Amino acid sequence: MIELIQQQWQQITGSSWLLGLSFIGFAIGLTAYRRSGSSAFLHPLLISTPIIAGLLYLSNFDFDQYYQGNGLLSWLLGPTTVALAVPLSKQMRQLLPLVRTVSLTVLTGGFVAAVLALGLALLFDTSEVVILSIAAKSVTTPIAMGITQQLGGLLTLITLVVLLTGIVGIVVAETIFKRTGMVDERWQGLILGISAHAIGTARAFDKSPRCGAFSTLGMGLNGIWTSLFLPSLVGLFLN
Amino acid sequence: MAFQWLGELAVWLTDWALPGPLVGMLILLLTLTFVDRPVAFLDQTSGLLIQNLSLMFIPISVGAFFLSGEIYQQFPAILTLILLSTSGVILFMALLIKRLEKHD
Repeated sequence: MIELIQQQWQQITGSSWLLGLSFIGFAIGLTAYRRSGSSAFLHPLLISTPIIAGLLYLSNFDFDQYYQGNGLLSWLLGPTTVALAVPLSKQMRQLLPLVRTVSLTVLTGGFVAAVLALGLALLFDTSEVVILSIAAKSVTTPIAMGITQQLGGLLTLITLVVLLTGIVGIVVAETIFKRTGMVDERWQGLILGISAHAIGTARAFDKSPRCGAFSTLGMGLNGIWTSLFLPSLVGLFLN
Repeated sequence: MAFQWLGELAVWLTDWALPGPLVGMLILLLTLTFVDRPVAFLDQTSGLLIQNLSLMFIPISVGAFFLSGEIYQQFPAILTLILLSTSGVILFMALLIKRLEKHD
């Protein structure tokens, strides 16, 4: 327990002026995103990360230095995850009649996501470490890292895969929602949360607090559910 | 803010396999469901944090540009896989919900 507090404290105090780089990148990304009328292709993350990476290359900083300097931001993910309970609690009363649809979607959706990812990985004949590092792709980063560590995959790869899944998710979701006539914001949110975790959830909160609350719900439930079944499913696929 | 720390820290103690923040969220959710009256400062802080969720993903996402060459070689396969499986599962869920709603 004390070690944990010390570890978190070091994460926060390790922050430096490199934080400024993230803020500037985010400001540029956010401005472009707003100007475009919130187009999914111009998600702030897609614009700001190449700019920051480019600046780091040019100025000869390595990624570890930058990452440590931004410990505060990464640490904030924890309290923010907890904070998601607030909008969610406001939707609880509406949720009760919908329990059947929500639970069925989470149970099957989370499972299909993992089976598709693992099946395609086998089909494309990727190395075993890649298979282990992509299995948890639809799950929010903190949970995905926990699962991947347990499986023995690469942590740097799963964070990238989770990020790309989130971005792909919010981009293709718009088209699929239009094609299938899925206009209900509650279900849009749920699907975004299950398939595109926190990036989908951030996107859902852009639409409306209600959409965001359902996305939070989908993300949280899918995270718990996936961490339960994934280890045995991966074992099945590797044999 | 301090309230959120408490929620999170209390969970670290239980030493579950699940990540602390997630369990912390569930505890706060249960608390709020039972307390059942709006807490202004919680609304403000949580709103502020959630609106800036994307900002917190920036540091780890920048790491995508600093991976090893061996991984980059398999990158086309990984990217296709992400594209196909993510589209597939979203389509699956959209159709599933449509069908479930029709039956209700």
